[in-house]
Amino acid sequence: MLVLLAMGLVMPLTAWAQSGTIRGVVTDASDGQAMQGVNVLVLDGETLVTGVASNRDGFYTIPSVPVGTYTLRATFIGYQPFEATVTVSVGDVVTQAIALSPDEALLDEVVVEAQQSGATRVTAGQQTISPADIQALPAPDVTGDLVNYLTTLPGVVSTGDRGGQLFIRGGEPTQNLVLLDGMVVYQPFHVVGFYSAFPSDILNRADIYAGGFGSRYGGRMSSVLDVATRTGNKQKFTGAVAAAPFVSTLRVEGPIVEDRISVLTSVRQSLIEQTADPLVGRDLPFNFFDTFGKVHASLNETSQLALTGLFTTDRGTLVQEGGGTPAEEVRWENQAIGGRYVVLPKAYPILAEAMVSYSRLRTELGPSETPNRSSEISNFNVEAHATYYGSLADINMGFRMTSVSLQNRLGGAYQININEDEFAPEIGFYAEPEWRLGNGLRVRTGLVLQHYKQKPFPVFEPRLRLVWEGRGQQISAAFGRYHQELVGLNDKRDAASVFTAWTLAPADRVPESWQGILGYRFSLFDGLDLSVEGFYKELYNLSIPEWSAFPALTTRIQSADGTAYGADVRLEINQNKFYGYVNYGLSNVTYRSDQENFQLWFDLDELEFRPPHDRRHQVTMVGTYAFGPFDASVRWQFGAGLPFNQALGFDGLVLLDGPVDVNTDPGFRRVIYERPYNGVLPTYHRLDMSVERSFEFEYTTVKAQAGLINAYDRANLFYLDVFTLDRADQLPLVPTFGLEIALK
Amino acid sequence: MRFRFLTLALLCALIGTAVLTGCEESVDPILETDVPFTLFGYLDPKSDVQSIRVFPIESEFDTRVERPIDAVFTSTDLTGGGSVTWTGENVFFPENGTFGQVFSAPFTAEYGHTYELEVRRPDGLTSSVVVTVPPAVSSVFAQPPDRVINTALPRPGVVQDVRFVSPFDTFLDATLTYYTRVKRTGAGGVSFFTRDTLAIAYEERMAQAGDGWNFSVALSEDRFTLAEMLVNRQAIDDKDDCIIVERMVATIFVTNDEWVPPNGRFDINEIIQPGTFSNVENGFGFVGAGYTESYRWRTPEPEMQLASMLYDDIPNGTLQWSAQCNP
Repeated sequence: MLVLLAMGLVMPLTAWAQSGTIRGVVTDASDGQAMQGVNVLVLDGETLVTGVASNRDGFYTIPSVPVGTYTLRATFIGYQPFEATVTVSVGDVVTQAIALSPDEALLDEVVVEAQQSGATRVTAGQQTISPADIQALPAPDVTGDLVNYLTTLPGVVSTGDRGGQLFIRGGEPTQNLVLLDGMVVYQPFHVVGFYSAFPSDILNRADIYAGGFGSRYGGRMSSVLDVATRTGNKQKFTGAVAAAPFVSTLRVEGPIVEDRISVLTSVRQSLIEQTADPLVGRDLPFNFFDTFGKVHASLNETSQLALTGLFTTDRGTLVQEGGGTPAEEVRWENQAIGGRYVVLPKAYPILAEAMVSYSRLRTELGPSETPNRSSEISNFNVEAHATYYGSLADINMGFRMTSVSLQNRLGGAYQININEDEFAPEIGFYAEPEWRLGNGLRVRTGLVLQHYKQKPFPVFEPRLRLVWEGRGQQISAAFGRYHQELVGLNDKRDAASVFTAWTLAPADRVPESWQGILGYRFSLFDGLDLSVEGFYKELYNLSIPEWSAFPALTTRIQSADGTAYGADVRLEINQNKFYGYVNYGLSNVTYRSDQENFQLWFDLDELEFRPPHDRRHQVTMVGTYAFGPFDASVRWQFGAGLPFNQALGFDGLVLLDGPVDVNTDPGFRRVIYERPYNGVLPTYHRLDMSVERSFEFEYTTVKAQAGLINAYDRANLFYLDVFTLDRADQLPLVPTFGLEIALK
Repeated sequence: MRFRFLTLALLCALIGTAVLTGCEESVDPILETDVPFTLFGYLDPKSDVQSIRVFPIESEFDTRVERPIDAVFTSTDLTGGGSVTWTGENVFFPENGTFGQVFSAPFTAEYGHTYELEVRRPDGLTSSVVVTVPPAVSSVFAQPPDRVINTALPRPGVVQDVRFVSPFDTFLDATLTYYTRVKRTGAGGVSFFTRDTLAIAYEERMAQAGDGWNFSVALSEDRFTLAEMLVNRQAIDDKDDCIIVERMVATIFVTNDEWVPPNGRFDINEIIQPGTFSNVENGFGFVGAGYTESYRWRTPEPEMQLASMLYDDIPNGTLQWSAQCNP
């Protein structure tokens, strides 16, 4: 590995000494916002010399350009091509800004950034999601939301339209790393499952890595959702206001200093609590709010500074008051604030970025004034990354330092009171050259050196990613080792439990995963694409709540190993006015626990069971059709039943460790389980549909939408308390309608 | 053409599946079981009322509401004959605000007799348990104290066996309780006495021998243990401060042979699993039999002093504080 790293460093430097570099930033001439994925080519006459695509900040760097004078051409679907003449001298670093103007003739054409996103555009577990992908789905309001798209992915299991938890390819929600402009967001999904902290109109793009992610990301072992927001309009103030029964939205953006500094803000407030009764004839006591703000400054042609903040609140009553039992309300609150500086240093073909951020999540369960349980996690994070652009390889390297604070207060009925405060510093370094080996073959080799509080020695995490593209096909693979020190514990008493207590893994039992992905994608014929991807994960030292007949959520944890494997099959159809896809996900997750008591209880050294998120089959069908001025979309989802703890009943125990008086000792209530997760909940399925139409006026665009959520009124289970037998279902049939007025 | 076919097929599949599956499915988190009851408690031959806690195995978790008693509890003396029907009562436990069902009967369990306890539900489902009461302790007496060389101590140690004569095989809670008095000096130099009750676990010092058990009292070692306990309670400042013993009581809880926890320990996290530490037929839980046997004696003064303690069992403590206290 060290030899490979050395080669990656030396060879590009050698090549760089006989050539020069062209770099700069690509922006949209109409609003000054950075453009990603723009093809920037170096042409000698009409002969292609070399080329790259701009990154998420709009920056491009073309290294090792032979000395000479060239035409620099930038192209992007829907925009007029840009051309400039550039002269490169030995060792020169030439900066050339590119501003692309929209092509008025193509404005009405539906552009789904076809080369970068789309249902089958998955590469070794990584998929890029654009706002256009999100807009293609039926939603309960006129503005889209990222989570609405995520739940259509074949390897993603959600708790449905309530609860806000995503399980990705066998992993648990707390094993997902969610980043917003580089800041950690611990619980980004709202209590109403259609919404997250990421409305589509603030998004630039989102990359989801359903495993096999690169060295830049650390501290999680299931997936990464890396969300990048827009910079905001740098030329004029604009915005939109939208209202629907579920949510109302306000977005404002514009220049603080024209062409230099912009601001982008978004505020959303749910309305479902107020509108549910007249709309569906029953209470839906869910409330959420989020606000996002970003100030982005293009300091000059080679550097940018962004300050981003996010605040979200959620409140939902999972079980209504009744039978002497008080309402069980869950609440959570996210805060995140961060600054990010990106620069292309003057003399070297390097892109460098530095980031400082603070994130916090507080979750409570129980009455609002006296919660039974609360859990709080916060982190202060400092990180820096750099990419060196060489002729044969780009070398990424960086470090991150994080200090995490944890606080748990667990109590309530039938609950042992637990109070604990913990602190966990983490530090990690990585290097990751990406080799361009020719003939469409790219190989990325990474190595992470990470220190965890709970490990006596730093750990090494090798990563590998391989992509071959050619003849309309793509073969991709990824492999890696991952660790996660922070673990989230759920109350296994409840099916679809949503309260999570964050805690530290036991000393020297830090959860670990080895995982591999192999994928194949090809076009059956023009407009019909198919991708197949398999994954396999070995999981070690998983920290799961100790399995016990004690009816209590506890931070006593047991260690388990696990195996997750499965496959995704995606079929995408894109034909003129029709766009649709079918996703099928097959998954098998097994945990093996050697909890000490299992020998005594079951006469077994190790007990194998399905964890509660092991959804074996999942199908999503999405179709959109444009007829006349209308766009109609429909989505149907199916998920096999999830495992849960089925019990024989309840009894009690009096600890007879001496002459106990049974007349005064209340003993303990307990549940008589047969085996862990021996039951299976009913299947989940739902049909959503919507119709949308836009009206263009001189200064505004008005978009109207109507639809049905859960069109055939399926009673999908959301929450089942096996102790109180309280059942809460997901949303019933809900007619929706919405209106958005956007300034042009 | 092929696109239209695919699109049509997709839509048909979508609508068809929706129609076929658009029904509600119920979920029952509680499985059926033929096991009706869980029992906990013990028969006590020294008590004239016997009580057993009965937990019906039910689908309701909440015990904060009173539930009707729906069982018939009988006991049969398999050794001496005779049957008793017990009375059920809903007992409120203020400690956690819950209700529980306790069955009681006014009789004395006989030493060495075997009883069958049976709880029957109206539908006939029955849980039962057979329990044998351990034999009685026929006599208890203290052997003369011995002086032994103990290299860990600055002077010869004092040991004394208390002998429980009985053929029982198991016991719990062997404890030696010291009732102590120590002198304190308060504000202004005024002296006063404080009293403490200090229990030392003696399970490790019980030894079966001949027709009974020896409860081996280690007075000199206990002196250090008592001093540590009193310092921790801030009753004395120095471990060498004088300790006056007012009473010494050896207590054991004699049990039947089955009353042995798994792995030799009462770990709630182990025992919590139904079926673990259980002797109930067609049910869960444990019913034992046992009684408490205590013995009070006085160790002669010379041996007490050798163990650096004084003995004064006069209630108001007439013993004068003197140089004898720390010989």
